[in-house]
Amino acid sequence: MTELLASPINPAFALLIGGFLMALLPDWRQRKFVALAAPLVALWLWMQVSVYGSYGGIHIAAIGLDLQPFRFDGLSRIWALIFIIAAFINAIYSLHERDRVQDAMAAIYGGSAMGAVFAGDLLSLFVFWELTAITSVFLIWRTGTTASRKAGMRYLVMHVGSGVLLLAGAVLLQAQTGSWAFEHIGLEAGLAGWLLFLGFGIKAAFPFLHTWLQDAYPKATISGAVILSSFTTKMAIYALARGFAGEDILIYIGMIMTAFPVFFAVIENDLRRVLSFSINNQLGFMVVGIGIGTTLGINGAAAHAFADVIFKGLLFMSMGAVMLRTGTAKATELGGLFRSMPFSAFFCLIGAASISAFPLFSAFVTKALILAAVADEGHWFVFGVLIFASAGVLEHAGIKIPYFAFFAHDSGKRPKEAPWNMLLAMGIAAFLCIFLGVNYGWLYALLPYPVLYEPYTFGHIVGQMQLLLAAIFAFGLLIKLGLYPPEVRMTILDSDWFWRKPLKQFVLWLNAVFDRLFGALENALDAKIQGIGRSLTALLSPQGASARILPGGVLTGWTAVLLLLALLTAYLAN
Amino acid sequence: MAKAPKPASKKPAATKKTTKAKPDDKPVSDGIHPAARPFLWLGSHWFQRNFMWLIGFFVLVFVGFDLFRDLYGHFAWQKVIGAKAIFGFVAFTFAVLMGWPLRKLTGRPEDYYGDGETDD
Repeated sequence: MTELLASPINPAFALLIGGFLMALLPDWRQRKFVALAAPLVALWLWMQVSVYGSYGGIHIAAIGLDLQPFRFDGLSRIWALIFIIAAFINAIYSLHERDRVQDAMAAIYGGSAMGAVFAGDLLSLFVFWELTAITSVFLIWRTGTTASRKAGMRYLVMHVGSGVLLLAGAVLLQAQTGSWAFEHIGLEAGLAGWLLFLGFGIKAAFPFLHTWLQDAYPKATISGAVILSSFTTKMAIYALARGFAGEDILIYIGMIMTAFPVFFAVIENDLRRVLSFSINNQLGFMVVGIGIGTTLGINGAAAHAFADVIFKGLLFMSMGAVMLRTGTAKATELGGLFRSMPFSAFFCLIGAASISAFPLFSAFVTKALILAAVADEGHWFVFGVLIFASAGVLEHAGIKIPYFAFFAHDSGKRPKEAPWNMLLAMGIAAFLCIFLGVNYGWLYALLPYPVLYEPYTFGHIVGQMQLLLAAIFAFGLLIKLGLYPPEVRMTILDSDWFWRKPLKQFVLWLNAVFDRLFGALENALDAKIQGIGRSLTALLSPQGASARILPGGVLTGWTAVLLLLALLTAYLAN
Repeated sequence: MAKAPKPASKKPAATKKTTKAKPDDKPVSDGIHPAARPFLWLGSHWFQRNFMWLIGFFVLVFVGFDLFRDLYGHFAWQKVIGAKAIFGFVAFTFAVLMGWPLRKLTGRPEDYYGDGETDD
């Protein structure tokens, strides 16, 4: 392609500037125009870069600071493209909304995530990392409920904490290496490496650090949940791929991430929370691929992240449409909606088929890359767990979501079909799910390394169909036998229970103890201060002792003290 | 115990209205989307009860394909006929059945955390 620009411009700026512009525009039509135009400008800028490299570096020799805010290479290129596509689809999806704050924050959030992906140094990464946290929380708060406000605060604490760990790790690493460059870090970097690893791990929703995801996403606004599902976690996956590829520990962390959400999702009643568990499950596949660290593993992680943004976004969009029309995403309140929302149901089924990895759909190709990488390295147990997780994801995202929302028992609800813009956004995402599954060569061309893997072999198709169909058969059988746990309105405890209950109680107790302690101290001090006051009054007041033996009263006494202090200071200064 | 007499109905006796349907009256909308009408059988009890047998048939078909292909794989279990089908069935059943004890262990009332979790 002909290079139209003298020096490439960071595509993230298009979304960032667009977002700040939207914050100033009072007219919703103008805002929506900018929301649609900004990703298109970003795409144009992305297409202008034909040579890998680092552009627009800032070097401050006096403090030895070398910032590389725009590194365009095989890894950042594919992540940036999917963020641009997601920003465009999300803008279409939220065209009917008239929320200036949300419009602006969504664009800045997307731009920040893209900025983080392009960051060639840890300081630039930190700035964009924190900006994603600060802007994305508004997508939760704009729901306006008490629950969303509290969940937003918990989300913010976790994410700002993640940034603090990142900064601490970056500073330590700079002290060790003398460089701020964001390249492969590895855990061999010691404490610096571990701090960065944990910082990335919070946003990647590692086990026990994951609860912000299931806590906050279901409480976000309808389009907010779609937008959130696109950026934060995938940005963290990118950071892990850049900094910790080939770390064995990631294989086992990822393996746990794929498996544990399967059990929780079975009994969860809120379908948007089910999808949040599903995010964890899919992130696990990517983390395993990064842990394997071979070119096939990294390609698999990148390809799966690309596909996941689209099919997970599609599933969140379909649940958002249901929520917009019925006011709820609880499985107990839904069912039979395909009768009045057939297009939403159809798109949801495409998203479900994609995430379940049916042949001709995107994850059939992308998940296979990761599984092949695991098998090539001989990790038989991890391979088995990933196959189990593949059956599990079919259960919660492939069957549960469409079945309980659109089929199952008839709830009697007959809401209107989703607005045209929502259907258009879902239609584009559904098209991409199939396009990537069929024209996988197009996706391969975007991956960081050359790919030789052929997904459509007779054996792979037969094996995958056996797995999926047998799992669906099991679902039918369990329902028929009454062994499938019925949907019940309840809260399912997760590891955040530890800090939301016992830790909270402990802090409240500590607060009460300190209240009493400080109260007693205050009383004692008050008595002491009053005593000193009385002594000073007796000494310095006009009727006091000093008035009788010294020239002046209180004022004179204080003046003398101040003068003495001034003289001492002047003396010590010289 | 003697039955208490029924209180007299406060409602006035309903007057029977007979409204003749006009020939050009449209049927009352049942909320069904026109695009969904050809697919209403998807919601029928018969279909939902028997769909699994159709799926079961296709499972057998795909297991049958194993007889006509070279079974290969990195691991020994992948070379068993119908291995993936067995794995899928067992894994799915295990995941679902684990839901019962897990719910008992972790299930709490909806407003357990007391911060208005139910107001979404």
